[in-house]
Amino acid sequence: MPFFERIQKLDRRVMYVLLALVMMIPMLRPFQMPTVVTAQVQGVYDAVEAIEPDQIAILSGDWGAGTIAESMPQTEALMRHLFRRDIRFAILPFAPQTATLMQQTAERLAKEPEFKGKAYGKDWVNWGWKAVPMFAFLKSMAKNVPGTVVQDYQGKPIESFAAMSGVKTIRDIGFVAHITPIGNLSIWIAFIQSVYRTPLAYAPTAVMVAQGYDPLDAKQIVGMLPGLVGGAQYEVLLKQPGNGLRWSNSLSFADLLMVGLIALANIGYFASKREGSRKG
Amino acid sequence: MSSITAILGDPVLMNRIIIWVGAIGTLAVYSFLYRENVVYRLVEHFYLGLAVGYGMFLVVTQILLPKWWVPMWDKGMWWWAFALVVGSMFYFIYSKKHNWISRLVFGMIMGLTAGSLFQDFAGTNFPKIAASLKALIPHAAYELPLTAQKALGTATPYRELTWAGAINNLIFIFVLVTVMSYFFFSFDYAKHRKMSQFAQVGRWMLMFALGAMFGATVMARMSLLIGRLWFLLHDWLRIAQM
Repeated sequence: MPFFERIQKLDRRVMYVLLALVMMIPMLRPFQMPTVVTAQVQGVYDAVEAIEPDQIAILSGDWGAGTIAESMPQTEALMRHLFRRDIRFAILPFAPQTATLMQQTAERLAKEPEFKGKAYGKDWVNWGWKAVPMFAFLKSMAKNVPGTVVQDYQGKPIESFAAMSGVKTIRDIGFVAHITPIGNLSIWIAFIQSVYRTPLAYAPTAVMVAQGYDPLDAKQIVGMLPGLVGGAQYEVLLKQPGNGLRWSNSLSFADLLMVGLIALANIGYFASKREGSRKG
Repeated sequence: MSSITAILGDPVLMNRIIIWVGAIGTLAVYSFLYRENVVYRLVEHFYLGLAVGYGMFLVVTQILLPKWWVPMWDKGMWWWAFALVVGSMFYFIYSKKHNWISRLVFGMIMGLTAGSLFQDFAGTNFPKIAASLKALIPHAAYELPLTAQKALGTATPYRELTWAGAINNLIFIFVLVTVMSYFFFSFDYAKHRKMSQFAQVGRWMLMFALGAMFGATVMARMSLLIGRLWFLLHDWLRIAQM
């Protein structure tokens, strides 16, 4: 069988193995590929830089273990930036797994030498998963934060935490980032941003990125971290390479392989067609 | 028995066991890529059972107990008992004679949802309509007159619009109008050839957008694989370092 025909009949399982092997290379042999920071990521960074010292930030989310490769680098980068700026933040999970995963991320960062002294309750607080409709929670929280949140993820009264001192309404919140694999950004926009003009950032998984461009254009969000690449670009801005950059290298390798295979298959298709017409 | 207690009491050992279970589960699920097999089916059923059990556990521990039972039983908020009555009304949907009872609560929920969706729609989409009206002529930065500032509720000065920005806006308006014309069905396109060509351009623009969205979807799927590969190489085999 000629080479180009064989290429077209390549077993899909061979491609799967190739894909896995190619993606493993940057994980086993880390290296730095050039990463360009886009305006949308810079927008999120600038919004975090603009938070007033007496304000609190909210890191809202509803991601789980399934999207860890995209949502975790985004969360980690945002938390790292907030820690560096000494801005208190609240974890606001809209899914049960998110409460645990975001808490673990904050605890892991707090153990790093750079963030010595950062502690739960003082520098961040976890509001815990609230089993209520998101719009109802946001509407109520905007007017009365402690009365809506009531207790943290461990059941302790929310007002007992130093991180919550002076936080009464949405006016005390200087920044919100919504880290999500699903399309519910509009709830934050409709019930908070459009009413109170709170700076809102969007950190979706790559599959949801398209939903972010029109609010970005309409200035309803200050910026966006598009999937894993968004987390990687934020790491560049923080000058702190981490899993975002490492994993985005794997993504680039996978993309290169796929583009290569598509090109090869097309060349094979046209070559065999030409061969067929020559034979008559 | 004592050995089980020892394992449960050793967090490091427990962590390793959890990682091994995760790794075997991951490999079993990916074995489907080779072909349909018993191991994959078995793990799939485990997963479904776990997900249902986890969901029920959450409903009981995070909702029913703290939000309903404890306030009603321990804190004397007896009126929470009515929640049981209202909740039970849903089940009248199965009665041919009394299903009107279920409609009362369904109607209430639909009303609540419709009300919130209206605010959702208005708050999300109206600003986008306003943002679609873009300037096409380059200009220097300027401040609005005081009367206009009051009317618009903003004192933010208008930023400079460069030639590049104006071209960008022109492309935006062109794509917007062509795509909208594609969805305009009041024309007989067979009679209006120019309009038909315009709509065809809109169709091409849509194809570009859908292609970009599909590319983003592929990237998201690859990211899922990255998450699992990292788990296998870093947490399980420990051959990838942070």
